[in-house]
Amino acid sequence: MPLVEGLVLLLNPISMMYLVLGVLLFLAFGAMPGLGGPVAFAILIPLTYTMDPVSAFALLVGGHSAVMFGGSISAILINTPGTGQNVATCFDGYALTQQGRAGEALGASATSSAMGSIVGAFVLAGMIPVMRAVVLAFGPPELLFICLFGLTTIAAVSKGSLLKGLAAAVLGLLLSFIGFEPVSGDLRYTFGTLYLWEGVDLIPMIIGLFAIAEVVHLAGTGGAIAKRKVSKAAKGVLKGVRAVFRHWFLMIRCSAIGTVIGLIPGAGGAIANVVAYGHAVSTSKYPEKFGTGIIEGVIAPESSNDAKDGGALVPTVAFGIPGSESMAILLGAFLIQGLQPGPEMLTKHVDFLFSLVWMLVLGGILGAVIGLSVAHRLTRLTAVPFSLLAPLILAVALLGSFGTRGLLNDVFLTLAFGFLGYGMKKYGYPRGPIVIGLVLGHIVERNLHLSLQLFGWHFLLRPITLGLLIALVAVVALPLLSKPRRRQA
Amino acid sequence: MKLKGDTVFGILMLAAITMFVCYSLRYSPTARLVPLIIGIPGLVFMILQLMIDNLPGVSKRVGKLGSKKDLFGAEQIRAREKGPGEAGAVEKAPSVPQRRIPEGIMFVWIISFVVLIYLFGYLVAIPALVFSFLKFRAGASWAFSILSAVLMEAVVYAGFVILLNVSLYKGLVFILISGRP
Repeated sequence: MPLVEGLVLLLNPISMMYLVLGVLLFLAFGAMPGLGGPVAFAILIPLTYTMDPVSAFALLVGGHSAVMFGGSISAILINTPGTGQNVATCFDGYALTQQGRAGEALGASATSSAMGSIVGAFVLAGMIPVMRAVVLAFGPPELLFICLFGLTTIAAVSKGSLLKGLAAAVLGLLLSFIGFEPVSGDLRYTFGTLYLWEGVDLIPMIIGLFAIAEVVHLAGTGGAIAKRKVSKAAKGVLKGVRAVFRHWFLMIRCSAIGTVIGLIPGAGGAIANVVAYGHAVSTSKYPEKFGTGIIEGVIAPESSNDAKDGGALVPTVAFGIPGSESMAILLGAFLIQGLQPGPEMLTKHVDFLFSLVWMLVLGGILGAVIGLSVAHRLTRLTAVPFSLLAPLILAVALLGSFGTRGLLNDVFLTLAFGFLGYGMKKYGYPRGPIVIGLVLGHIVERNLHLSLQLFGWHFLLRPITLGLLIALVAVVALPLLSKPRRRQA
Repeated sequence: MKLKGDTVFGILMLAAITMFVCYSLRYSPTARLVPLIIGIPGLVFMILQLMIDNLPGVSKRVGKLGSKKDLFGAEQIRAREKGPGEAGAVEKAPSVPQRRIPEGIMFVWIISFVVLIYLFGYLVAIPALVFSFLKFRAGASWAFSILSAVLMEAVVYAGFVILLNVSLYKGLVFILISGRP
């Protein structure tokens, strides 16, 4: 049974050690506002270069399951969300802390996060056989339009304006064309540089866009990462744990919301947690109490933001189209390990895929258990002035960019992407689409040429292709056609 | 006329995409097909964005493309609730020094670090960066700065050189002196 084989693959001392290490590191990155999952990925992925795939992904995927709970700790205790995916947790989590019920809020957040991870993981497990049938039925034209549709959706739903998202995606695609052209063998955009013959490597891009840009941004904000006094986590953790089981149906519904939003490429947890919170308010018998310190206000966002990871992994492993910004970066780890998402992944690496399911489950549970025991210490980290952390993050980031391939030019490229990433962050251009564009560019180009060779331009009239083309146009056109919302009083 | 930062950045993005499109015209029809299919709409997106940012008339007509999206009404929910960091009865952390480092200065530090790596390699550049940044930028004590630099060097050496077996760049100066890469 593949699910059991996946668990056996993961249950070895080395992989489990990396899983625990990953949980600790991601909890710390999650608890420090501004850093979060993408920066942790950017710094840790180069370190996985020499690891076996299971250990590498135990560190990354297992650890990432804990990042949302890490983010909820600072949201609950200091009213500063650790990641963008914990914004809604502040609404009631901090209100509970002000009432002296921080322990209850943390207990509920930990349990909801773990349960959300489990729901998301089993949705992923259930989808693997379905994905295999779908992916194998697709030819080059369908794969081409799946990529273009995914990329457009990511650009459309990621933060900032639609045009900026699309422009970022285009730039990512164009950067992917640097180097050898797959059909003619022509060299493109290398400017006579041998270094660019193999194209732009994903790791320096990720480190520059995320780690370097965030270091510059956070240094510019000054002072400690969080500027609020750390509240003490009080008693009542078990009460919070029990509350999740008392509101089990809300937890299941919000986990389902998170998983579905995770399935939409690019939508991500920043949306999932707020939508789940809105759902909890609208279906509650006492909606007026939300925002004043109500435990359902913690359960709803925290179960959704963890569940979305299982959903986000579905398009990531099936088509190589990441379901979120973090998944886009995680694609880099797949490529480092020689694992190509798509049909190959779903046929040759099924055991590994099921081990990913268990990494999500165990990472979520360990994150909750370890996180609860170190919650108060983690919030102390946020009081450390960022100027003390900056050189350490910078050193590890630039070591990582060199360490992957041992090329000094990768360090210069990281610096260039650092400038670009900072500009994109400052002026509201989403960074996810540029990374995804770089990853998908080769797939788009190869499948377009294959489609033309097999069907000529008639490939555009194949039913699924035509359907995806219409959906693609709709994604771009819908914002123009929708009526403006009425302003709330 | 003074250009706004977002306009300058938009122009740079437009220039980058234009460069890709113009360069692709030099290649064979097969090699330029996809870059042109992707690049030309990219040019249109960036020009539209620049027009929305700078021409109020255009902004009114097609502003929805350039405005912030509200998928599933998430922004409305955020706005309705009390935003994080707005709670009134919160005390500020009392003893944290407010050392804001301007972005330009931070980039100078990063560029200096890269130059140091290029000239002297990682094993010299890392402790030098950690010590000098902590001492002269973050205002840490001499003891803390030296200890952090030594610890970081030890972690890098143990983690990267011994455990991960990464052959770290030695630096141009040391390569020239030793005559070995």
